[in-house]
Amino acid sequence: MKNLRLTMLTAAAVALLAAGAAAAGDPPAQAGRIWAAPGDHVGLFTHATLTLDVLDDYGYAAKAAEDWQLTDQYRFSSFFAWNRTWDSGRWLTLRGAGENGGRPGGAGSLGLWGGSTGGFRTSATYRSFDHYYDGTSEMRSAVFAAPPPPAAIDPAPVMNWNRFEAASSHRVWNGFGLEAGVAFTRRDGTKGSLLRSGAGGAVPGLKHFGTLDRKVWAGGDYAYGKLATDWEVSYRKSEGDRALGTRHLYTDDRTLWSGRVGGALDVSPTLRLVGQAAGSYLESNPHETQGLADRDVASDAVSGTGRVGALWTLSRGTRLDLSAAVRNQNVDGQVGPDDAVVHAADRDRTSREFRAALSSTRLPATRLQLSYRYRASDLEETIAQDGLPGSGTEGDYQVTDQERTSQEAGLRARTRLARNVTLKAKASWLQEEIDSADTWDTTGGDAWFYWMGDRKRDKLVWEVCLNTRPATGVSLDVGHQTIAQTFEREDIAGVETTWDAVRGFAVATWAAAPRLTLLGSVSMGQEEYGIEGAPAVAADVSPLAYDATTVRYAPGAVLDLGRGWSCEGHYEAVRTTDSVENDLDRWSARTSWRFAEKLSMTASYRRCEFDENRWDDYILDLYSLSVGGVF
Amino acid sequence: MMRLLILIAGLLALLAVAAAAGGGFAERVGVPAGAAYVGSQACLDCHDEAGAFYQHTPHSVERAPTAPGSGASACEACHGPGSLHVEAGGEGPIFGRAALSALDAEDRAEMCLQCHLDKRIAWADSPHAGSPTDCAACHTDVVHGGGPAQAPSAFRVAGEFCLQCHAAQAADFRLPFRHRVLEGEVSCQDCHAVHGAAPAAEPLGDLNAACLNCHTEMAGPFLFEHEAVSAEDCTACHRPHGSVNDKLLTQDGNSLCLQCHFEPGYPTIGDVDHGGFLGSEARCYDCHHEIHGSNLNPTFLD
Repeated sequence: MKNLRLTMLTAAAVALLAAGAAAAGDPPAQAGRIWAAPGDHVGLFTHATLTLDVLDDYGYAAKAAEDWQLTDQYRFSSFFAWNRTWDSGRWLTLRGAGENGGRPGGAGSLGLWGGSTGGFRTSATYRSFDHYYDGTSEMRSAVFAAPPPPAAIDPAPVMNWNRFEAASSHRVWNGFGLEAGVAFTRRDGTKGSLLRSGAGGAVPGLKHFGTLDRKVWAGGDYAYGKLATDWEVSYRKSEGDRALGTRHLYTDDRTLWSGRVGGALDVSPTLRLVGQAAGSYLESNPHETQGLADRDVASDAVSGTGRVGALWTLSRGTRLDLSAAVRNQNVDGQVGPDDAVVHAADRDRTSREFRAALSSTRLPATRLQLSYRYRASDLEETIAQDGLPGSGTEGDYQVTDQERTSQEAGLRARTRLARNVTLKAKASWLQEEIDSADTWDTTGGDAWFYWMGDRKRDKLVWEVCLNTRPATGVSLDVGHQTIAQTFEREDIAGVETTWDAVRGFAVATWAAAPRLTLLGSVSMGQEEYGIEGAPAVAADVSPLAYDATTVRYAPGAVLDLGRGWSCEGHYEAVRTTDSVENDLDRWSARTSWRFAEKLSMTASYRRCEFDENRWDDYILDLYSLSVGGVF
Repeated sequence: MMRLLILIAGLLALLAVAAAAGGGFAERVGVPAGAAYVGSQACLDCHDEAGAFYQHTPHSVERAPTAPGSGASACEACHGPGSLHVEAGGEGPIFGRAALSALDAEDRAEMCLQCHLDKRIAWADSPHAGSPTDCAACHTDVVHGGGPAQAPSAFRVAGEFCLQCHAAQAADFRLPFRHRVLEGEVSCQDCHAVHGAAPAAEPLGDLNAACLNCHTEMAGPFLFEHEAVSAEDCTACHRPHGSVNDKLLTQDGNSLCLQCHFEPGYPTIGDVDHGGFLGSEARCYDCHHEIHGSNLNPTFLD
């Protein structure tokens, strides 16, 4: 056994080294909380922190605003919490954060949570934030114009998101609980779009939003003996106005009713049966104005789904999960009134899914899981100009008959190779086949609109990770991921596109001395989107393939000087090379001093440097001083 | 009809009988022979530090509900029947820390699910089910001897709690285009149901439902659907956590669309010669900008 483990460890180490050499994508690796704001005193106690930020930025201010949502030179920010627990078991927590670095009114969040232990719980949260958007096109392409900068929208577009949520749950008696809640989301303002209404350096299109979304829901759970049930119903209304510049105006009016019920029964200590059902009715009646077209739209979608499953412990350490689900959705829609239908659609999609998973911990210090999923769906869709066939006002129409089937097999395993070494591995394989054919009846005899025929997708994902604690005070985690995907058109010979990614990472922490901790992480990734048989394109036209290499490293150190002093320093670099080269560097250094029993002061310096060798490069320096206390 | 009603009534009666049958977490993982429940108050005679830890929590001996299966509550609900342990003056068998640690994470989750019934139904679908992450790995502050993670209350921003383990997402959230989780504007729970989710009968499927919760205008239903949205999901084109590309796109430029829509006769696609449109830096989106679905144009043109 010892030799086997040694062999596996060696093989894993070799594989990781090979993967590291190949280089990798964009995933993991973050050392410490290097994003944390200065002067954090956070916990389930009463505390408050006030911070003054001084912003010094260079370069393209709109891009910096888009990244940091910060436009003013001086910013005050604060966060606080008040918490209390009474002997009766009642408790109350108030937390909030706010800042004034953007447009008037500031941004932030406020939350109130309270309850009686084991009895009821109530919460209410409010969040309000602004989003700034760069006023120039974001296209990242080597053929896209480098300096001089193109035309820009000034001031930078900004959109505000307001969210409010309140919920309450009450344990009426042991085994029976009720809960209810409301949520509102309001969007106001303007965001930049990818649409440029033209090529080259044209400014982005603007999308205007003035929408309100409201949701109210109620639910509950009930348990009796080995039976557990739950249910929920909800009502949602979304309405408001949107616009794409002046060329397309929308008035939304969408209503969604939905409900679900579920149950679980422990038939025996080794067998649990689970069943769930859900249904929804969505009605949408928007009004759209596009050029000379001024249209009323009426559509609805009726959806239903049901699932049964069994969680079966075959023996100590071996479990089999089985489930089957069906789903159906029917969509009816038309543009224009009944007596002057412009377009009409009738769409019916039915799907089935079967899953099986076998888990075992029978092998020493090892967990294995094998899973398999089969899905199949059928789509029958008729879209017509004028009315649908048989409506009496029928015109040209096109019918889509599609069948999708997919199979997905997976393996997850982890084993403890030694007391301080754990190896994890995950592999999955997906194969999807789409058989699709359109038929039509049109005046000219040709298809009314573009459609795709049969196609196939294969995807293989492989991940391995090694968690080690090689010595006291040292942790080292390394991992590797490979993704290989192929998409093939079977209706058109010779069309095959691919996506290949290789990624690797390592994260290390070393408590080098009683007062010094060193942190470090590095990750590398490479991904390539390929198109078989793609022709060479002209020098000034975007390439048809896409390659990206990302390298990230983030070292850091934390030093405790004693007498209430501590220092931290972090650096993070992200190098992305795809259609253009992109460098993102972040520095963070801070020192904290606890100058009284409950008070401390923090000074910090943060820099963010974004470099694409274009007009929108920027450097943002942020100097902060904060005072915080725990009360 | 009468037969059907009798059949349904019979099934409900069987269900009730089955439901009333005894058994709980301890029975599931194996009760020591001869052990019986003695009440958790007896535990505090020796383990007063546990009593203090739970004093103001739902798990205190005074407040803990009774597990529907076994009738046990508080200490014995998790540590099993304690009669042998008590009678032997603390030397007898019980599910102590070592025994619970030796269980598989799924079995430890069952320990909690015996009372937290509202989580029992969906847990099997949780992304954490079947992983080493059991309940105590996250709920470190409500279970004594919890995992190494810091409790949610230790973080200024809710999302930071999850990012203690999910390092890849932490890195994504620092890219130039991202959902603003670290800034506190959105949280992981806005999109993810960490305890598992019941199947939603949302018009565009479960995964899209997470996105459409905020981006409601893309829910349609549209007369002309884009299959990448309706039959696949938003991640076909977007990286929801973060990207170096605007709008969180997986790729910049036209190669994103051509992954599915490339044809050998390029720039002819679907019998339409796009040569006149795709010169210079033009993008597919410049014309097909109703790409999430349209009520007015079958090829999402404006």
